[in-house]
Amino acid sequence: MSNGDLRVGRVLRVSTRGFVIGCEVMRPEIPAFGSFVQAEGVAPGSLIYGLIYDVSIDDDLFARQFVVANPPEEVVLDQRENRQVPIEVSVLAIGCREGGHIRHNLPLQPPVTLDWLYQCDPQEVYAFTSHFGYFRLILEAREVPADELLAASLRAAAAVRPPSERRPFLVAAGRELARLLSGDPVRLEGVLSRLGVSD
Amino acid sequence: MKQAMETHTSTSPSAAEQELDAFLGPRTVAQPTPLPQQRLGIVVGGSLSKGLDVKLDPATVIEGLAVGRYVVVHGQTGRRFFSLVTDVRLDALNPLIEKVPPDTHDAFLEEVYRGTAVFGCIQISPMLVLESGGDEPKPVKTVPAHFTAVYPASAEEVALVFGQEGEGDNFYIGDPLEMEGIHVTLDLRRFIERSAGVFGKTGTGKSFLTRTLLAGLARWGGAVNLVFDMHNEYGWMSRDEAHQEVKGLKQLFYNRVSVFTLDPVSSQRRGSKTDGVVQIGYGQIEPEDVDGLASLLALSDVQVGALYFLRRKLGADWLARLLDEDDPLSELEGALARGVLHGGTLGAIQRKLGLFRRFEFLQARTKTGDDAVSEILNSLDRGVHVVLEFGRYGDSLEAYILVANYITRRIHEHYKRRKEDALGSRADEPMPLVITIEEAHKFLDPSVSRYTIFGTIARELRKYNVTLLIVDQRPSGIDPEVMSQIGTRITCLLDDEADIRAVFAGISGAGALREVLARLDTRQQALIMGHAVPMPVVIRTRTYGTPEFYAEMGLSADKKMMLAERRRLLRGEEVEI
Amino acid sequence: MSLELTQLTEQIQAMGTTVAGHCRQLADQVALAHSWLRQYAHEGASLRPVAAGFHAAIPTDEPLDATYPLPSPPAHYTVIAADGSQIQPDRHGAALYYLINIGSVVYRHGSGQAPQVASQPTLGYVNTDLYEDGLLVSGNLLDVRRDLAEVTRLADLCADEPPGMTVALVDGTLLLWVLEERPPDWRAAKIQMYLAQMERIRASGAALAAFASRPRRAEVTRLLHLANMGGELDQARRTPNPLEHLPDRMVFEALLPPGSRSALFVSPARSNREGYEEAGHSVHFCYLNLAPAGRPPVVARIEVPAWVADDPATLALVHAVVVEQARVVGDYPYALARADEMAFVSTSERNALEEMIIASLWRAGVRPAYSPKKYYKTLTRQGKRRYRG
Repeated sequence: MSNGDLRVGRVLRVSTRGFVIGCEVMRPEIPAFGSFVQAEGVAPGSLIYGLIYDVSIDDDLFARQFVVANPPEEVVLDQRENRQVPIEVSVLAIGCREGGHIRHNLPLQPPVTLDWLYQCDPQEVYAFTSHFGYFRLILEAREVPADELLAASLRAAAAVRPPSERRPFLVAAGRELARLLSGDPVRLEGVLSRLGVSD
Repeated sequence: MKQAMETHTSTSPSAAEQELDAFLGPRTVAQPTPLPQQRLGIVVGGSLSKGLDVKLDPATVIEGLAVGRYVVVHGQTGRRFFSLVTDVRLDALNPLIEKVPPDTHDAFLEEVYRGTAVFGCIQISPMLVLESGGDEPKPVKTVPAHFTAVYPASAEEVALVFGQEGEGDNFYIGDPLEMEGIHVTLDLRRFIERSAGVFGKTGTGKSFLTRTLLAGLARWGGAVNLVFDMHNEYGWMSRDEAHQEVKGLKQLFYNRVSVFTLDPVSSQRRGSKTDGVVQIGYGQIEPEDVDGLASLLALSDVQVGALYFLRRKLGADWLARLLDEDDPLSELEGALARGVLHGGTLGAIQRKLGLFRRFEFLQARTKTGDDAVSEILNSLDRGVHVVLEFGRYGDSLEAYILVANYITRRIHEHYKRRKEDALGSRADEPMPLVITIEEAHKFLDPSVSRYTIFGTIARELRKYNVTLLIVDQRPSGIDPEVMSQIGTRITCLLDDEADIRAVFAGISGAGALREVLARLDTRQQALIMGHAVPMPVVIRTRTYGTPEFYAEMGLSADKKMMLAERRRLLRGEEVEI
Repeated sequence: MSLELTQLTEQIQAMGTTVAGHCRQLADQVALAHSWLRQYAHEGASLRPVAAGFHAAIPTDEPLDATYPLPSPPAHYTVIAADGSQIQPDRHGAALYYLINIGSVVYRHGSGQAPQVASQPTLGYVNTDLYEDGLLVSGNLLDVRRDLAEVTRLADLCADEPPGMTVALVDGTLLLWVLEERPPDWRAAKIQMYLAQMERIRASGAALAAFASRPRRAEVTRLLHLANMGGELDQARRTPNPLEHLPDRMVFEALLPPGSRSALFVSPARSNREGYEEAGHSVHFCYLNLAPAGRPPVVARIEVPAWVADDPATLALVHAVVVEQARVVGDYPYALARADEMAFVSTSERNALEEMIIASLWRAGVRPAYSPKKYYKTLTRQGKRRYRG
């Protein structure tokens, strides 16, 4: 269990397309937009892969008061270390692992129990992003900032690769996008420019 | 192994290596694997009639692909389709990209877009197909399947299609585009099976090309040439644009070439070695010979008809008598009186034919035995090539046409008789004759082609073993019917639409080649299509005039040896090379 | 969604007018109260015997109108706060259980360490937990259990705390509120349990206080009315109280300088006399103006046991610490606010607990089901959800 794993506090919505959960998290560990996560699937050993596409933090009125005042050190420490941030994490399903094989399809069934949301480690991210079948799922998702999400996930996927592989990976990903977004060149250019390669 | 490793520390390295070798066996030097050819792209559409569309791979550099290049499509069934690149274009998945192109400073975007969102396309015309395991290319009748791979043609494949030089009747004529060092050959036997043409606008190198062809034919020896050398280029010597000396046929094939001249003064002035002077007596000219000049002399139909009448009436000396101002032409009075012959017509004829007085090669009387045509025929029968220099008369189209027609008609007649005689026994068949004429559209324009001997020869194909090699810069002036009988066409750059259309008349699948023709270099590039080549080919023509070329034509560089040889052959005559 | 707000408009408007009228009335009352406070400032001794009978604040030795400035707090001190929340047992629910959740904070001022926060939930589901004397433990019975759990937790933490300046805080009141209808011996027993914990706290050396914000009590104003009646109980009862409905804090708002406390009083509550006084934990109270200088007054009410009230040093510590803690946030001691937060159980957490319990019952083979009443409540009260295809 790594620091990035989230204990699910409350489950707000679950479907085969993804899920929205509420949880409490230590401040610095707030999960990142575009990061790869996994949850246990229905069948034993199966996993559902997802991308975090929204992180919203409930308004913390209590903490707001300290912005103005000059609180004592113990109060500051208390806010930082003890008070959990209530956040709402939205995850888009982009693939699953069944029978040991990674597939870029939606899972057949949503998870029945959702206790933990695990961060994918670098090897899992590398393996999952070796093929680009999941692009479609992101681009076609509704109510999701698809372009920004895809770009963020690709940046994360490039980061787990050795430096010599990063650019070829992003070029290959860019080419696949050029295929998928052939009907919308303006959108394509927008996504490509977000990949962080162009300077 | 362990033992070897243990000894490694105690003994010298070489000994250890020896032990390793002994244990593992001798090292085999890895054979260098041949570099796989880089695929250009894949076939994505098209048809046999209009050509195939090929989408280029991202790695293929479009700027390196030229129309006229050879490519090979590796078909689904192992067949290989030899094709010519006939068009190159740019395309995009979405036309919107043309309106909203990406930021050109971004190398990443460019790398992503190239080959995916934007890509290059070429159009290729499949010409020949080689069955898998086969070795003889055949004309193509179908197309390769979707998504088959397209590769640049390799040297082996080009050689397979065009044959190696030295094999049989193949003559190296030039290199294909972008493939220096590979030799495209003409099948000379097929070349002379039909009339052939060398076309191109002025300055594109037709003369050099013709010289090369003539040299090739001469060296081959399977046919004999008769060249009507209008500008004195082919006989002894000429000069190129840089004023460098260029050797003519006689310098290359001394004993096998006879140079005749109409203008001995001019030939001598130019230092041209000649073997005879051609003179034609008035009495030898027939109305048919003058008929060919009808349009040039502006003879009306009535006037042309009158010529035949005059011949009948005046006899063999008809021309001499017409041109003799003192001859009363009393035989004609009756006809004039009856109105059969018009006075005005007669006058016009006499006026127009007066031109002949300026031709010094036309003599009122010639000595018998001095028959130029017989001399020429003699040479030809012996297999000696003949070049007829026109000297100053080359500037006169009337002289050129008159003499060419005169000689050719008689030679053709001779060949016809010989061929008919030989129908019984093959041994007597005359060697194939190739007649080279320039300004061919003057001989072969639609209004006269029916009547001239050249039109006849062209249409006859090779019935009597006589074919033409026409050199012309205005193919649109040539009768299309004649043009369609021209078997092999070698075309340098043409830019007149009508000329381009004319050159392709009668060639199937020509539409695709138009772009190829229009993109030729102005010098030293030609498109060859037709009978003598298995498929159309764009070549960089072989350079005429280099020492290597001369050597290949058999001209020895050793002057002494040449001199000795020539002396031997010419029975002691001293000849300056 | 059945509140017909449109039907209430008139009444709400009328309410506004009435409240405004009240405000004007209050101002007059406050002025009167001030004058009486001064007038009868030293009548404390004479009023002491009769105050309780009138449910009025019982004066101590301190003059009624006395104010005491804010002492400076020590550099190092510890605040231990505890607060509790509960989930009532639901007869119509899937299973019968209650939950008590106690939140606690140990805040060590001047230590440079983050406070120690904790919450301790307790589930009551066996019959011995759920029923007391045949009654379902809910409502006041559950509140009593919660209050006891709070003060016990407080005592545990105080016991673990090394000696030093320590103040233990609870919210509201030190007086355990038990319904009158309960049998006297049952009530007494509960109070004893509470007092035992208070004793543990005293024994640990810590101070103890309860904090109420926006207090509504009117014990001091009743005392003033009594004073005005010359201490005559009957007369006081018969004569209408001109200070009726005037909360004490309003009287002290204008009176107390920033950070100062009012005079101490003793609570007139019955339970105070019944058990607390005997055990030496008589509950005293006073009012504090938490606001710093230059700010509008914020008056709160604190209760302290006798052993704090009678020790000036300890009282001063409590005074200083409560005000300093309250000034961190504005009007409520920080540690207590955090303890409240630690105790709080949100609706979604309640639902999650419910689901966990149901799941556990399923696994055990029990088929829990809502009663029909509850079931329909869940349907109608959860609002409408849009269907997204």
